[in-house]
Amino acid sequence: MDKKTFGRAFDYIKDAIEKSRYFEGEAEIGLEEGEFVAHLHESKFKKFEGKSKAKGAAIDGSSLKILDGHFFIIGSRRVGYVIADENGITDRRIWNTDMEALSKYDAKEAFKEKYENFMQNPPPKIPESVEEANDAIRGLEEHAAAREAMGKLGEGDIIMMDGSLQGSEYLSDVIEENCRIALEKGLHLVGVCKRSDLYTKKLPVLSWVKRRGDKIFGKERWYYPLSEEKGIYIAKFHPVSKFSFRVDINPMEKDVEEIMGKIAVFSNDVSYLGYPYPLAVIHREVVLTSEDGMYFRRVLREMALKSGYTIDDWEELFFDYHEYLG
Amino acid sequence: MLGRIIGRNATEIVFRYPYGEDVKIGEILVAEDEENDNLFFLRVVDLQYGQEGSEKWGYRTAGEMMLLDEMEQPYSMREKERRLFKIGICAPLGYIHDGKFRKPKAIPSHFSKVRRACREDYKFLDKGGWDIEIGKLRSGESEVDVKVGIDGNLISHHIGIFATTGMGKSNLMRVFAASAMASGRYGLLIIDPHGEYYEGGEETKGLRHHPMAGHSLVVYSPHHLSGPHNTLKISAYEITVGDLQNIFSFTEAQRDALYALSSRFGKEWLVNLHDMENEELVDEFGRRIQDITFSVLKRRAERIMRSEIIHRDENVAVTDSILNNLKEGKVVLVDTSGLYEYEELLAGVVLARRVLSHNKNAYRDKEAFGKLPSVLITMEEAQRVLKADGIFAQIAREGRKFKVGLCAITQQPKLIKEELLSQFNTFFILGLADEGDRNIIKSSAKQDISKVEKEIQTLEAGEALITYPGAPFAIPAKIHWYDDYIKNFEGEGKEPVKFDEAFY
Repeated sequence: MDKKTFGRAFDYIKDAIEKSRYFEGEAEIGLEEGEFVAHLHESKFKKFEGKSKAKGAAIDGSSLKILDGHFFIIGSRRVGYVIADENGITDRRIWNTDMEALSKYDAKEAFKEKYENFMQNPPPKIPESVEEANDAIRGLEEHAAAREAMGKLGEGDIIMMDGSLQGSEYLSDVIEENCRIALEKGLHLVGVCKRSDLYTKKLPVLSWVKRRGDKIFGKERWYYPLSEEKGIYIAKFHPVSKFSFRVDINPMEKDVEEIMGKIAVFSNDVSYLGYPYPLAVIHREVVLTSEDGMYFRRVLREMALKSGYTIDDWEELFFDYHEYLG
Repeated sequence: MLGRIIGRNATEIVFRYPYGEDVKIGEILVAEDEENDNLFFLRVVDLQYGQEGSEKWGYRTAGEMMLLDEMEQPYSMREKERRLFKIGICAPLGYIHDGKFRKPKAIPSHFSKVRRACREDYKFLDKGGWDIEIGKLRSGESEVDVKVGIDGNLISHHIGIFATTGMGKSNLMRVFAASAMASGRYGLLIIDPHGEYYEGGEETKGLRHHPMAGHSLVVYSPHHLSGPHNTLKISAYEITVGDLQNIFSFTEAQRDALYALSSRFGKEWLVNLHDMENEELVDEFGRRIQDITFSVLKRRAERIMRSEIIHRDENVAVTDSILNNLKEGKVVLVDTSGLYEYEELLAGVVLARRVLSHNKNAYRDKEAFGKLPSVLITMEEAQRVLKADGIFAQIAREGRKFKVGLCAITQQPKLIKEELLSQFNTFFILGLADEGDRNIIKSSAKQDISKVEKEIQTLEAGEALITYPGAPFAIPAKIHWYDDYIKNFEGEGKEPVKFDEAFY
């Protein structure tokens, strides 16, 4: 291989490195649902102090496709929340794992029905595929769980959702409604993303901003408002954290620094330094793993065989048998 | 409940238990196999750390802690009980099914509950049939209210007591003697070269303080003791050539000379060797034995005859009365402290030989022999006399047939001839630091103790593992503290067991 082979790849890397040196001016930031223009300037970085006390809820959910029958899937979901303060978890509720058959013909209806039951209004958009429907139902259930958790919190407390508050086109109304209710109650609703797909044309935004923030403030907590209008921030919640996170805050909130300070209270657990520990805890509680999937598949198959159906019947339905063997 | 079984196999059971629980190596736990109605007994042989998530998480978290420590930054770890746990590695000891204890030929069901054993669980041990009480069952460092001991009938099958200094050998022997006194069914001969059993120590009581000592303990000593005792005297006429070979090394020529002396003078051989001049002896044997040989032998004889425990009078000897005491099921303490090592060994050799010889003779009359109590001869620093052949090796090999057992006390079992050690059926293991010693014990024990190496290493003073044939497993014990134990016998003016004197 010669210089020509590596040339184009290296040119890209070189350009990305060069771009990362400049943190000023307009940058097009990509989101799942589209792009927006951020006006970057180092002066916008803000240092903040962690509060000493805080109370909040962390909400998360997990969904898993157990079996794929091509025109339908068997999907499972589990959601839950924990209530925590600076000392530890004070309350937790994990819903039983829900299992549902969603076909091409009824997945939309299933989502619509669940949505309307919760919101008393039709959804702004209905998912097209069964997988999307399963995920959207899970998102809906997470926000329903958040609504329940709000009832256990008081003014000034914080509600941390796992993930962005921006991304879901099917649930935008639900998120908006929850933000409104939270604001009315004096609660702070935020979304914290473990991973972020925020990107510019060449650079992953999180690491770019993190490097710049650490260069300015060193071992301090800081946040950067990527879009105050949309309520999108990058924040580092612990002075020595190796990671920064995208945090979505209700754009109607007045005191962002106060909210960041409260999230920081939860971010000093040495197991997940810089990440709010209640979110880590609830993630572990609700996550559906591939082992869970294997177990569910086996139970369903056993039920079929015990009911008198043959393995041929089963394989005819789920002919990609490598999946359930695996 | 303490935890749940995770898995592994029939020789090693692994269970998970909470982060905050403190389990100790050596603890006895039970696994409740509800599906099969079995109660498994597990001995904890090792402990490990466990964590939810990958190993990397542990490395990373420790790194974060170190960084924050360095920066003097506060931090915490929530949900420890859910994230962190511990793993106990156990050796299965067996299981109870239908009230019967069985060897571990099955494994508990998956995720069986594991808990600490309670008194009720140990009911099967009460059926052990022992009568020499030693202590209480131990689980890790905790004492369980279940008494443990050994069957006195095992004493003729020899006992080994293995421990490094300070682990409680003397206390164990005192407790053993106390139980033997209370039983009155066994003769126990204790040769005490350190003078630690009669009076006890500064903080401990001795055998003389046992409430039953008045009629169950007989003491022999060459020097004055504070309480009732007999003077230890051995007649020069009862010492054999063989006895001397147990304590001194001889060349072939010297051995030939000794046998010639014995053949010519009979039981007077030693006195004559001592009294006769060199030249006289050479002439006596037709100058077939060189004077230099007699010179060496005479020097040895002089050492023996100079000893304060050796008497020239044939009738001044205590060995017969010691034999009688043992036949009466008494504890006989021979205090040899203050004597030279060869004198102590000589006393032990002569007495051991007499006991074996007596019982061998008695064996010819089965009925009378049946009434004879088993006798146990204890020997401190037993590796001295069990390295090679001699009277103690002979007892180890054939003593059980004649109801004569040997109790070998040693810090260095590896120095005992392996073939002789294999003759010992009962082991009291009280903590051995040396790996070589542990290995020899492991290979000779009558129970599989291969998995309890860590427990042996971590035994505290007074803690023991007892193995003997018929024991359900190597029994962990906390040896009674002698001073406390003998309080149980206060007010017991028990008469010693009578034996058929007519026979003797």
